[in-house]
Amino acid sequence: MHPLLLLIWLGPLAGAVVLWAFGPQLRSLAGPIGSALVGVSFMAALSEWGSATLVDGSLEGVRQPLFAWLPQLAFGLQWDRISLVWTLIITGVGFLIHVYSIGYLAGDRAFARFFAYLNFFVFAMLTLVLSDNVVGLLVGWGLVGLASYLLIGYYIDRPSAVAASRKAFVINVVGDVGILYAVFVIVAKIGAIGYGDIFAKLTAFTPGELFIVCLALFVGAAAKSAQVPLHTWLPDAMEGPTPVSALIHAATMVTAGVYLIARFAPLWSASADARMLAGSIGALTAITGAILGCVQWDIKRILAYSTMSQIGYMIMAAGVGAYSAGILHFLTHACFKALLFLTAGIIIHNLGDEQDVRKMGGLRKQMPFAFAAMLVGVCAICGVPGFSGFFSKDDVLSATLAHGHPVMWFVGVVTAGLTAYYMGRMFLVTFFGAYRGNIDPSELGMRHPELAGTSQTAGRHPEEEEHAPAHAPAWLMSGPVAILMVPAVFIGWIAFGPNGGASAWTQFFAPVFPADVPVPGTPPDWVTSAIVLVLIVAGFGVAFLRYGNPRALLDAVPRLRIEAVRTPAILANAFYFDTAIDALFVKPAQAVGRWFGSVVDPRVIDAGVREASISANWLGHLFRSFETGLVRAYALTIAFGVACFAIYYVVIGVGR
Amino acid sequence: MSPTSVDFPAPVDFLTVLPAAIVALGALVGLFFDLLVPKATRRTLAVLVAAISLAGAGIVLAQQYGHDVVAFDGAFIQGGFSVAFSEIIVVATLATLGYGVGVGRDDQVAGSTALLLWSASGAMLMAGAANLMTIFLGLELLSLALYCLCAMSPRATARESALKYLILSSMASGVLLYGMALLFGASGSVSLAAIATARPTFMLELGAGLFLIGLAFKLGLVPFHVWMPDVFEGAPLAVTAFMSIVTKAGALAVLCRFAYGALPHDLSNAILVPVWVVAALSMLVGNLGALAQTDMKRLLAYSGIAQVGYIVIAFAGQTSLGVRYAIFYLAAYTFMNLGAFAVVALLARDADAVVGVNRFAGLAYRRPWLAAAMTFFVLGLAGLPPTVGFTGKLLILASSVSAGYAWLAGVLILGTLISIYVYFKIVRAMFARVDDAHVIDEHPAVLLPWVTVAICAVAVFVLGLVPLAPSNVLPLVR
Amino acid sequence: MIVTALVLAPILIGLALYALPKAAAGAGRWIGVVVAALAFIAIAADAGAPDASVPWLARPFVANFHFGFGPISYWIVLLLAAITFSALLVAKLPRANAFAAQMLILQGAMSGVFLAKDLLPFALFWDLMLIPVFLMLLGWGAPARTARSHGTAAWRYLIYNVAGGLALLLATAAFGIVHGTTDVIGTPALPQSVAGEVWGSWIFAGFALAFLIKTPVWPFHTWMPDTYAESPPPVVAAVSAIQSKAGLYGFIVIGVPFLTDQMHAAAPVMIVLGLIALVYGALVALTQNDAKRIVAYSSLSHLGLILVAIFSFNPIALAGAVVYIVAHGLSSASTFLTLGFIEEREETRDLTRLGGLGTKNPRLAGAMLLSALAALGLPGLAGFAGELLILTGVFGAGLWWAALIALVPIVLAAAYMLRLFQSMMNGPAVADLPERRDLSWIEGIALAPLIAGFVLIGINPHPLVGLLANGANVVAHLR
Repeated sequence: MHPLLLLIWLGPLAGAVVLWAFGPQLRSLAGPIGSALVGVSFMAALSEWGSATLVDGSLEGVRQPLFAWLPQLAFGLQWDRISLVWTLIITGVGFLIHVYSIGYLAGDRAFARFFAYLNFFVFAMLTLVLSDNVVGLLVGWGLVGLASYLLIGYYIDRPSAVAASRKAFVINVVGDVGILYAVFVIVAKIGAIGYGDIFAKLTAFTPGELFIVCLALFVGAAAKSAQVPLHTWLPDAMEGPTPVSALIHAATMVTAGVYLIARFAPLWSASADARMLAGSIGALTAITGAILGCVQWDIKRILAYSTMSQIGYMIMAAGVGAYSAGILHFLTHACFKALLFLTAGIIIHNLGDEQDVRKMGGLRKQMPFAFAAMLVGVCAICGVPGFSGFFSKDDVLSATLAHGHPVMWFVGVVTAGLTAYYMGRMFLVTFFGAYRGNIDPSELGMRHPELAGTSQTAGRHPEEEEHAPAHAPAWLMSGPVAILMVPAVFIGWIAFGPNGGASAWTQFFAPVFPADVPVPGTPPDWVTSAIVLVLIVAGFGVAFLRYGNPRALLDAVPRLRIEAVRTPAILANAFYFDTAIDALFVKPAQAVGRWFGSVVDPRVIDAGVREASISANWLGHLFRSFETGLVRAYALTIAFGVACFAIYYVVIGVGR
Repeated sequence: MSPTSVDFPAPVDFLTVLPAAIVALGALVGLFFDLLVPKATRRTLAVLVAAISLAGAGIVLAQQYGHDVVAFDGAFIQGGFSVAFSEIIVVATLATLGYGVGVGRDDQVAGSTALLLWSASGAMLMAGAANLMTIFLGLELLSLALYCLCAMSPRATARESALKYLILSSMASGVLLYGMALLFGASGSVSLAAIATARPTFMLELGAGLFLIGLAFKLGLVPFHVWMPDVFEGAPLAVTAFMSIVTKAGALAVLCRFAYGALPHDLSNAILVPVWVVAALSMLVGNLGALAQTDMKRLLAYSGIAQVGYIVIAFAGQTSLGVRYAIFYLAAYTFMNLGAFAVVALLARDADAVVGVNRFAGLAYRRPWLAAAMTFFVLGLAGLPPTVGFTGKLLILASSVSAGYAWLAGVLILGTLISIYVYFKIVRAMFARVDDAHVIDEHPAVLLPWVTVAICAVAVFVLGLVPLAPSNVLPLVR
Repeated sequence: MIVTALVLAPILIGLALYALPKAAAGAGRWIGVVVAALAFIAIAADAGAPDASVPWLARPFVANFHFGFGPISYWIVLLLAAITFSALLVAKLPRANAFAAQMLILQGAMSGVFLAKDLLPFALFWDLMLIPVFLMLLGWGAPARTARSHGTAAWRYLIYNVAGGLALLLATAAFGIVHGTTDVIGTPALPQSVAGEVWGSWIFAGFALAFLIKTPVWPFHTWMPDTYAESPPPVVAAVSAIQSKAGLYGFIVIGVPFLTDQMHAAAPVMIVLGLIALVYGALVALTQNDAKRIVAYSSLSHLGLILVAIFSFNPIALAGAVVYIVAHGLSSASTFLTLGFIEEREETRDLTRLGGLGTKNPRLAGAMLLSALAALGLPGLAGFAGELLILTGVFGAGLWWAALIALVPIVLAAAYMLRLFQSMMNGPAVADLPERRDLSWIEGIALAPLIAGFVLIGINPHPLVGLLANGANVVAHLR
């Protein structure tokens, strides 16, 4: 029995329940309580580091059985290196974002409900990563989907948010049923759902079944991690409050797909086809996200597409078999993407919910802190040497090459260049040039002191505006950002061991994943690093030429407007994914349903019964019309009957 | 011819017809007193005397239940079978007295009651009759009395119905009589037992056929049912109720005895096929016909046509179970039908007012208990639980399935399904929300009809749980 | 003893309520609530109650009034008591005494169906439970647009179900004739007599027709949307949660042990019918605008899944079927009751007219959301447990294609359930909707047992399945 393990897992749940039940009474206490519980989980996770990394013979890490539905379906917790990494990020970054939210949502009507949902999300995500079996994982999988739904649709009176939340949920259910199908096959073949049992009996699967299972799992991964073509919900999900985007749609939930593949590494290692598929989809997603990121003007959508692109990297790495590299990129990405989102949140917050970068500009003077934070984030995501992104991204790319996938490698490298371009674009347009918003710059400066974090316009609901503006101390929002800057820079370094190279990280996972063996003839890592570096510089350069030079920014406003017009339709419509899904699935389903409901049911199926009863009535009235009341008619009828009898007897009489 | 050659019936023979005799004599007593007492008390007295005599007959019958006694050279057999039928007849007659409270004007009551009793005694004779003469005797006694009773109402329709009944019924009697003649010719005897052993000839077949037609008419099996709705509608309510049970009881007894006992074995199945056919037709046409009816008496007439069909198919295959379940269902039908008629009588302003289905509208909100009782009876007629109708129908289904006549069971199911429309039309009328709750002024609840309703309701429930059916019924002829 | 009381007491007390004086209007409802609560406690406290049996027929076949708990019926009856309690607690209808009386009679009749160990009482209560529903549809049918429409709904309900009931009656009679007894439920299978082989298929056809209509399964379902839409919430809660399970229960306890060969022969057809119902119902639910009709069609979809489970003859699937029977009972009851609250407040259930209620009524929205999530099979709630077990079993039985098809409606369910919830609760508040109070305490108490039920079962349904594994001979007959 591991009480701390249960504490890590159930603490946030307790928070969710308490805040949901007594939110109105707790009011502003809700934020601190919620944050504290997640913090406790983080501490507990740290203190349990040892038990996660202990290796005793067969079993890796610690298992905590709970209960069983049926002999075939036994549930429990598993605490090993993979769950450790994810747990630390979920609770650690989660804690920071909780704190940030206290400031961000100060004075919001449903303050307590927000933290209840946030805690619930943490609990669900922990269920996902702590479960020792695939069904438990599926449960967590569904619950994070619910949490994501609730938080995307947090502003329940905003139709766009409501629609986005439903879309996210439904697409994620597509993923759920994918995993569900994998469960069917596993139970049918193995007769158990525990990871240990499954991996012990891998031979029970035929290659075909193995591919089916991996495929089914990948459907789940793709839906949750916004892989093409199931990614369309992620940009819309930005309807949620910015902290939610940071925690769920950047740092943790959307990387569940990577966790899924890493968790089932033995299966994937056994199925080359599945790896090929996952890797290709990952690469495709990476480049797609990057391209679409280049034409967005909404700062959060830019970050959303970049998230999609970065997860593409992770899936690609995990897909080719470089699981540790994928996890490393998850680790760094969680830090710098959270940083980017929270910084964007500060900007949006202070510009009164303005998200269009074309209405920003020149903000480095008014918001130097945000400027610094964003700079760190941009460098990290682009992979500027020394920053965390550099290590993980190069690790991913060189691993891809080392596993013998030059095409994916090429795509990844190009994506790196594009990343540099669109991040630079966003950065320049936001912080340089002249302020193009509708708030008077001087007022801007006045309204936003150093460490721009206070909120004059905290209320998200119009009717909240006339409430006394809630004053949340500035550090609540700037503090977490400041803390996140540290790992955004340095966390990549943990990849290095004493003996150099990315080996320390790989060794950390040695008990879990088979060591990567580079295919012969792989160029050394520094080649990749060099090429990437060149491309990053190129990307920045292009971005600077288009948006950076002072002359351009004088007439920036008209030019940006023109550029918006000149965006090719295919890009403006995000490659028509939404249109296609709508035309192929949604519309037909509705049409058929309407036809069934309004034609088949009433006019075909029911018609039979209705006709029967009608004709019965008709017969009744027919017989009634015989009731002439005339004796002779009656006599005739009787005579007819007599005749029939007589004929019958004659016939049988003759017959004998 | 010497006096010794005449063998006078033994006194024990007369005991067998004692119940019928008591009923018949009770009528005379009633008429006699009617001359003495003042006008005001006549109605009460007549009904009282009739009730006493019926009760007496009932008690004597109960004594005679058990081992069969063959009397008058096999002309009359009293035992389990006939007693069961006679008891049903007695109960039905009592019930009609109960809520009819006599038929006609005060000075007619004694006469009408007497006719009622004579008719009943005729039916009781039929129940025990084991030769053609007795059968015809009982049948005519039953019918003649009824012709008069049907006319016992100031309404013109009453006389019309009486006349129709007379004409058509005598036509049927003619057919029946001709059939008897042929049977006699074929067997050289009027005793049913003798017919059973006679050499099977075409004449015998035809005779049997015509005889069965006569019975089919009295039972109102399709297509010989045409007289029934008109007559039921025209006749006074009490008479209608009486006919709906007693006529059928008598005719059923004869049909059963004939089908089971009086037919040569190798022929019986072939001869009876038309009966099953008309029974099947009755189950369908009876219920279909009831669909379109708005007047309660006509509706119940049609439902009666179908119900008799249910009973007749129990005889299919001539199993002993069949007889017992036929008797059981007849008893069930007696209580369900008389209960329904009693409710109609309570709704009727005077003894023979016309009552339409619309009179039931919103009854559940005006007189919940009456509505509950009616629902109960209607459920029974439809064969739904928790009533004897459910059990009875189940037993008939079981017997016809086990006798290998599953197709009849299927028709029964179909007919029942149609009847749901009929019967629940009434339930719907009673329970559907009436927005303008205009209370129709009923005459104050009369005691006796209420008692009838209560007794019938209890019987309909209890018999469903405790299906009593006479055990010693076969053989029906000796 | 207790078993008999469970059947008779509600009926007798219900009838007695009619005798209450006019002055005591409303008292009937509370009496009903207490009776239901006591029933619940009694069942929960006395799971091991012995059977009670009174002889009924000796000829032409043996039939007894034999009642007792079965591994499946125990949970259904428990659920029935809970739902009657909740439904009566929130029943706000005119002529409360009469309504409570009818609800109690319905409870007794339905208990009779599920507790009967003899086919004849089973058939008896099967028909009996139609009548209170018919009367309640007539007397308290939804304030329909046309004066006749609740009448027609009642009519259609009655005709369809009586047709089934009569088929059941005939089949029961034939069964009794063939086997000499109908007192068989819960006993080991009977030797298949010669007559049994001759009549078996006809007997099965009779039972099957009754069960398919009652469930209902496509294409016998057209009575159901009307009935559910027009009935008052308490009635539709009871009917959709319990009565609709009678057919599936019959397939499990009668079909599987005693008509095994016929069941196997019919399996392909039944599975296809179930799958059609599954997809058909989900697609129609996607496009309806009447909230109640959406849930009605979703029931069609969900119950089709249970049919597939039963006819896959796989122990896990059967366990799942039992879990799902209870799960659907809980979720549909809570959904319909909540819809009742909404309709009572807003005087409409047309999704195009509703909207934005959640902003002012968080508790109401919470209840609705939980019910909807349970219905769409959110992992962690009872519906998911049922679906998972069923589909795993179905797949294990080699019907991988059925399992694959059955995944589609799960996605559709998410779509239509969220559409139902969001178009009532989310979005901008609709101006012309009356502003009413949020969920009251009484209403909360009424929903609490149902919600608690599907949460707990969702976490660990082992109790349901365990009792099945111990006591049920049904599993033994599944090979």
